[in-house]
Amino acid sequence: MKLKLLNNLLEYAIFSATILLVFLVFFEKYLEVPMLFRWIGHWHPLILHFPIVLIFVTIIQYWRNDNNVYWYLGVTTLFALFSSLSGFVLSTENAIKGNQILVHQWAGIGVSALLVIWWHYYKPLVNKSSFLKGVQLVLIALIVFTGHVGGSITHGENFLSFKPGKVEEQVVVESPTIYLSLVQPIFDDKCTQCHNANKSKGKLILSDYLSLAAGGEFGPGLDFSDLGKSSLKYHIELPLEDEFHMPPSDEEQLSEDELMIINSWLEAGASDTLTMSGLKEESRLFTYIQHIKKDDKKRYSHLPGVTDEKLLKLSSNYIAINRMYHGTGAVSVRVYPNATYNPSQLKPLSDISKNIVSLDLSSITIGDQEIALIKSCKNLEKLNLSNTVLEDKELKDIGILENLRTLNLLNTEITDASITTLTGFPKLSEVFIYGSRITSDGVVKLSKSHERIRIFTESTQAKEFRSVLPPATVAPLKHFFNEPFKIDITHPLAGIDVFYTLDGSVPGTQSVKFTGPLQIGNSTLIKFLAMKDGWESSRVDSVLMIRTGTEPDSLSLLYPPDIKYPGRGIFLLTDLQKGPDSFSDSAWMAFREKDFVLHGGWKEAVLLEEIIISSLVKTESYLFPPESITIKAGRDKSSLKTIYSRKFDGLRDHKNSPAGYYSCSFKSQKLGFVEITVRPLSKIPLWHQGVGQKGWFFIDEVIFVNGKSNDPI
Amino acid sequence: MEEHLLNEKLKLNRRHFFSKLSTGIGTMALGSLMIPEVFKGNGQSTESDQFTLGIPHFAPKAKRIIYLFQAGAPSQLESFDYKPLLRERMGEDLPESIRNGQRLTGMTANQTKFPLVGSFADFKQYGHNGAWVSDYFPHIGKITDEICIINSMNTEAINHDPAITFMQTGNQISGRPSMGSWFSYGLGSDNQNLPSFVVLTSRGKGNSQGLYSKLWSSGFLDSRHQGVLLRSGKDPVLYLNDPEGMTREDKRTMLDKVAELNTTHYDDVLDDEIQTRIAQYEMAYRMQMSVPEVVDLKKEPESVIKLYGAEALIPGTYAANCLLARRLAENGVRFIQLYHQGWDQHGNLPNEMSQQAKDVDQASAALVLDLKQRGLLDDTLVIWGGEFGRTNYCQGPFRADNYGRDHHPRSYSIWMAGGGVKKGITYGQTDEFGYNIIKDPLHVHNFHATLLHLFGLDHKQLTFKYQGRRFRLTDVAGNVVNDLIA
Repeated sequence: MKLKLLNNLLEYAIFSATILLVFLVFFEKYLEVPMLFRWIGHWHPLILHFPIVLIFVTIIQYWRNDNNVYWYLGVTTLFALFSSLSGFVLSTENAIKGNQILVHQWAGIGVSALLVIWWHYYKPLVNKSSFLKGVQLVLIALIVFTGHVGGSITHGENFLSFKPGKVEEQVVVESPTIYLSLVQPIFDDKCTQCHNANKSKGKLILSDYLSLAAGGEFGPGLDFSDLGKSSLKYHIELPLEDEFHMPPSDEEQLSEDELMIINSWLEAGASDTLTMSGLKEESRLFTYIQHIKKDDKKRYSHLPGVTDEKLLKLSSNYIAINRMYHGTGAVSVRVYPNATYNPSQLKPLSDISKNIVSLDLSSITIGDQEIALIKSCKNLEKLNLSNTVLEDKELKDIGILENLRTLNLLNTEITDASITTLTGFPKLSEVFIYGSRITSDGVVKLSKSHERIRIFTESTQAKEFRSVLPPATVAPLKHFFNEPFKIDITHPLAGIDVFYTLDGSVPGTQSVKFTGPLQIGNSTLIKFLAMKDGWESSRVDSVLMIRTGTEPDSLSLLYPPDIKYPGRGIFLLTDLQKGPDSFSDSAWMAFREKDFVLHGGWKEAVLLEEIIISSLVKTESYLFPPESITIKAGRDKSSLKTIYSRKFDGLRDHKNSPAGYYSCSFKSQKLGFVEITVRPLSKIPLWHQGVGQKGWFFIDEVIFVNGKSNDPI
Repeated sequence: MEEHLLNEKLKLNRRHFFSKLSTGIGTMALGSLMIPEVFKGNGQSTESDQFTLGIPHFAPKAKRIIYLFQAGAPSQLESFDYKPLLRERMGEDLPESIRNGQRLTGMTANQTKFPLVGSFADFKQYGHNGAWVSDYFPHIGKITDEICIINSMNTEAINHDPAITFMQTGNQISGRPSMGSWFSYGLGSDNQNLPSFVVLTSRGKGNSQGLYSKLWSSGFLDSRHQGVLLRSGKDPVLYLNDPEGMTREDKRTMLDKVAELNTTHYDDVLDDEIQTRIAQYEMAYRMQMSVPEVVDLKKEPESVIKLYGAEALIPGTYAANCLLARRLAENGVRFIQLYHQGWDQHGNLPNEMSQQAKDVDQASAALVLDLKQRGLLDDTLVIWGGEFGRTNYCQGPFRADNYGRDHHPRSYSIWMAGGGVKKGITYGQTDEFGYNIIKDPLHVHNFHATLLHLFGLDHKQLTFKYQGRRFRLTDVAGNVVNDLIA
């Protein structure tokens, strides 16, 4: 009894739903859907899943001879009808139904209709007739199709198809409109999934220019009275967190380039007919377009393909073959000169000669084989024959290369006779002829041959570069010596004249010209400079060579040097070695807190008249001249008298930096013991950043001079 | 790259197979699930597809780089960023509205005053676009029509080591591959007889900061992409020459035997670095012939020496390195990295900077012109610049004719030439105080992305998988700046 009631209810429900659906579909134009029904429409995405599953279940159970199939079928049909109804209501929310929605709508209604038919004929056709099989097949096909179209509406057109990634091919044809070639593709990529004729969120459609301009709920997409206020700009520039920021924060955002394109397009007037020629040259968009134009992937599409394996096989340690870039048949070849080079090695390259776009044979001897290779490279655009002994005849033998654009003839034997050959290359636009024998007349002729040819000779700026000669060098370089020796003055460049003086005066052309080794006997200051035509003379350089007289038999320091710069030992003070410019070298020892107090003793008294202290001054590193130097001396340690004393001003004026030698002269006398005291600077003067601190005293040599050392030899 | 990993897996023998079964099979299965293209084979690859290493992703403009790195950070205010206002307001305190809470180094953080200091050097305008260049760089002034001056570089680091590491590797902490290694990895070597990444160092008299070999390390990339330091003097590459008494034939025999042993070892453990080692021995063998030839500057005519300046005759100087860089570029070296030390002028700036500038001015300009007249400038990119800028206020005691400048990461100047970069333009602008960028900032990541782009490489595609994730030179940042590209 209960079953009977249920059955009746089901029947009535299906009947009335069918009637309602038919009514709605046919009288759509005359109806306005009430608010309550709209709410039902929003249930469509939920309800639709039931009939999809139930259809499959019903069919399976039917073939399994389930007794309850009748019930399954009934419920399925009812749900299908509800889905269709709710879907229909939902679809009325769009002002204009797009194609996809219409297809989806009729397919959905078709599914419902088929189910109603099946349900209606269920009892009479209880045996499995072929008619029923047909209905079931059509049902399955239709439900899959309907689902697919529905999915495309909600998730975007390509959502359900397998995407092999984004194909970024921005081909800019000769005079395209900016809108079609650059702006619309951005909308297509990032916006039209939600803003299309089928699914116009915010009533905005971005699939064509007029719809964009018309805009949606938020006003016109393009506000031509003030493009800066267009809702398009407004929404893409809202902060990401803002609810109305577009694209929505969980979707892929516009890239910087894309923002730039849209903004530049708006700035330029946002016309759909704007082309590249209408852009200002300094605008970013102009640069951008130029840029993608040049990257045109199709540039080398006419070249035959070649595999990586083949290129690898033809390459060797001395023949570099490189594909220009991914996915092109264009190849560059560079042959490196080497001892084992033999023209026959080029032969296999003829296999890929049509692929060779750039060929570099610089420093290779160009012979018949090489010329044959060049000839066979019909697509050659760049040819480098620099630093070869290429002559006019050989260049002529190459014949006409239709596609040659750049030709490098640097340091070749090419003369003006080749101008006619060069004129014959129809596309030649760059020639490098620096170091060839082409004269300025030839250049003029050549520049007239092609409209936009650029000829590179020695650059004009380079001609203006004048160089100062480096100073000559003295060898061997002995700052301190005890035996006479010979010096030579050398220079890295050939054909240099060196002038020198020994009297401290500034050398010039009037001075002595250096011709051969020079004997150095006494302490000598040599000043010299190097000269050569076409160069600026070198700066005047000088070397002071100091001859020592005697060396103490015993040497000791009262206080050890500062622990930071102990030097290599006390003997460095008399080793005749000048410390280098770098004070951290072990040829230097340094004092700061304690004085430098040196005791020198001789077994037998010696005649002394001068003591020279060699030091280093670098104020930026806190290396200063000392505070004072005091020398006490006598026949022995017990009879010391002060024989020399000097105070320094501590470089109050920092500009006069002394050379670092302190000469302490006194009356010539016989001495057996000396005590040299040097006090480091106690207070760094005001101008220095280390004001008030102690200065460092660095020392590398003490020279004891007696009369003998300055005797002429 | 996945493909490479798979090939490795396929080389595994039975023992490896079982010992690594759990991870190996798992990875392959997972890989095939997540990236269906992995098993697709060549030719029909799609989207993020495996670009073959050694081939640019798209048409390149540049083929090689000569990077003239001015280590220590030369002052932009005494070189290319002309700020007359600083002279007008000499000695006035830097307004807080300009500094705006910018962090300072420990060297000036304790200063109570930040007196503005104008350039000691005068500026002149050069070229068609009237680019401003200081009198310290008269030769570079002459080539402004060939170069693109960028006054809006900015970085994140404020101290030398992180900053120079950032410039060179895209990360402040060391360990990532150097730029040169990335280029070598992405583009391969052109000349099989020379390393693709060569480093040359020189030192000026100014205050220097250390240079460490980590700056040209290949990081996690294969060590064949590591920079090779060429030294001045008798042995340009250490340990390259054979010991006395060893003939080239002996060497050949030895290398063959060593390679045999290494191959056996490789079959056992399948470590890629062993293959690299074999290849490196072979390259060293060829370099014994090629390097002395390339570094021999005696072959250069006097006119060239005159162009670069006579210092080019002295091995180890900046000028000599510039000339050497040109010879290396001619010989197919991909990335030539120069470093010139001595630009850290915290004090005594006018003196030291004029000295430093004298070291590099003529040779840098000469290099650009020399490349141009040889037809190399089109595809050789020359970059000149340091790791950050210097402050517009004085560090230490203030004097108009002797002052110092501290580190300033917010803005600094570099220039580039050739290699598809726009020429004769000045890009970017700082405010009148030379403190903040007001137009077209160029961050280090964007700089890197643009460089890679010039070489036909997509900085997002040039990756290396290491420790579970893909690394890039630009890591997770970087945008190509098309405005710089001709």
